[in-house]
Amino acid sequence: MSESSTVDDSGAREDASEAHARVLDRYRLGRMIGVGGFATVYEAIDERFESPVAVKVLAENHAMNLDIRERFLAEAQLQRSLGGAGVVAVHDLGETPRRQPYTVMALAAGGDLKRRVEALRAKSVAPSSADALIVAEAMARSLAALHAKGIVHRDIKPSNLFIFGASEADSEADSEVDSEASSTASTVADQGPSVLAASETLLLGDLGFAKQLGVVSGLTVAGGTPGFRPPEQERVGQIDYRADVYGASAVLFWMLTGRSAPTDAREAVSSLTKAGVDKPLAQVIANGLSEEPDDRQDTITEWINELRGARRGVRFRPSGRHRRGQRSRWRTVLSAFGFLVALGLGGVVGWFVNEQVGQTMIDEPGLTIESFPDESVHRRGVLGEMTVTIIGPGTMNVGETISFATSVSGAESYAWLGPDGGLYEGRQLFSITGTHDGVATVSVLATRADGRTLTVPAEVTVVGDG
Amino acid sequence: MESGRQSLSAEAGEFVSLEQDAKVALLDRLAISSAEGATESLDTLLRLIDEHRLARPSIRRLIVNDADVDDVNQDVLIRVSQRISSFRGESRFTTWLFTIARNTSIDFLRRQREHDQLDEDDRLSTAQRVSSMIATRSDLQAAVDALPDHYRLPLQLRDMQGNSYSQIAEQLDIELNTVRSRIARGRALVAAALQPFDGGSP
Repeated sequence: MSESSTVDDSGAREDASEAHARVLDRYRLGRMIGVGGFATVYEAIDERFESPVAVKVLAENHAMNLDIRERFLAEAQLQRSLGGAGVVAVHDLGETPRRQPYTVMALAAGGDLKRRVEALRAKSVAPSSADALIVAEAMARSLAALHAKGIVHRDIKPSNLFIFGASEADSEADSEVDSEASSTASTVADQGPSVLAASETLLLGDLGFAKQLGVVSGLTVAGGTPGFRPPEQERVGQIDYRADVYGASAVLFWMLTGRSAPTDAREAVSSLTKAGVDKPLAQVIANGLSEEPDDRQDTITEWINELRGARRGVRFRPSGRHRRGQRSRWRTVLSAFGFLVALGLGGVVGWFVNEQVGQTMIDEPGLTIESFPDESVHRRGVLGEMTVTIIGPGTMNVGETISFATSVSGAESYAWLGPDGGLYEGRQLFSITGTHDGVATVSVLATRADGRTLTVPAEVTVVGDG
Repeated sequence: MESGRQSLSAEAGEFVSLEQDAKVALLDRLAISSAEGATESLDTLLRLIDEHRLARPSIRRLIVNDADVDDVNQDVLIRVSQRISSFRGESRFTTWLFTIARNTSIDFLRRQREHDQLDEDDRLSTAQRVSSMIATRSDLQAAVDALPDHYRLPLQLRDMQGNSYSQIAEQLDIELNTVRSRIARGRALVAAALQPFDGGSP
């Protein structure tokens, strides 16, 4: 990768050379270990302690975008407040000379679960049921910690589960697998559980730009990662902890079969048993993958208890076992949490969109808003050749679910920015459900090949019953 | 009325030990009293915002760098003074402050982003502009003179005589941070005299 930087893309070359020499505050940046549309993650050394950390830097072209910047900082604050319970610990927050915010986090010596399992598969080692159970225990620990804080993660997936606590020997073996010279990695003898060592645990890598907090935003939004997101996130509805029961089950399904979860729970059982998983265990995982949240395990604790039981040969009821109405307890807990968050920050908050009067930061002028007799509103933003149009209503009622549609041309990529601050890529339609009075803003962020971004906001007034 | 204000400032002295609800209610009463033109209420309000760092959580939502947060906080104090006359108590003061702090942060980011495209004058923060106006506009003299000594002296030494913060700290024998906050609040109080009838929404 670094050798090829002498050709073509000058922007990339600049970034690469920069990465080697850069010191941010007391953090000496090393190699890039992750890159996404919005942020880049580097391995780094905390010079005060001479200890390794991971530094996640918000992309320069997004650093001064109000929405993205705020989302990035909010995520860092939330992650920090969790103190490493369930998610990777955040140590510090800073800003580069180019005003890009960055977070400093614990470095996962063991890499992520996706790479770990894929590296094993490349050596023709398939994860066993025992492996899946060890991973299940680790996921359950992390998710229980998160759920105890009232947070639904909603985007559990192998690439977002980071491996901590590796023994020295393990981490050396891992780093061989992870290094650029992975093809030359020495073969590891097949013995016992091969995915996670007993000393290792899994933490969620982030609370994500693309996830979480639908609960506290007071609005639920569709989102997540295809293949791992629960069905209730495809449509729009009430999301609760059982979304993560689904996600964790989907991770186990992927480990054991190498595929993403099917929509039909019965198909899940047969795929798992074909892959050599015992029927009772397959059934517990399939229950967790039920389309209806009511048919899944109620809590992550119940889920892990059933998995443990299945290993001991205890049978569990198949899908469809729950009484409807059992859920209200959780909903009360969730909305209470949303309220507490709203009251947080010393009472000076009111983070609701409706109180952020005036001033929306738009990258470029040229936003037009047109209302039509059918009450739909067309918002169109133009930046050079790039055009973004959002069509949707201007008002909605509490309890109502509405959809926005977008048409984007001349852009390399685009994403929706939900009222929860999450970014959702790869969808033309975006739905929200109003849960309290106010103004909700949904935006489309479109990025051109040259990196310039156009943000088009669509505001919808949520009208209460009273 | 006078005794009402005195009780407000007495309550403000116990701010830390008040329950959250009582804090919010006290701020509302101070803000309404300030909007009615009570300078001592405005002084108390600004002091509470500054000392108890009430605007900072909102600023931190967008601004990372510590020095930048300080700058924005100063500008927030000035904006509060300039616009408090439009506060009607229709929303909680904390909400109103949140909006001001947020918009001030947004303006700061915008100034940074457009830094290269702007005239020298536009690049200045509100606090810097107020500072230079204090130095140059004689009509502000009355507003400066009306300040209580603990604001007036540091402000004159800084904005009219150009001393550094540390020189002022030494001359007046007060802490450097106290000098900074008194100058910031003094400027904010003078700014209230700049646009007394600016009734724009936050």
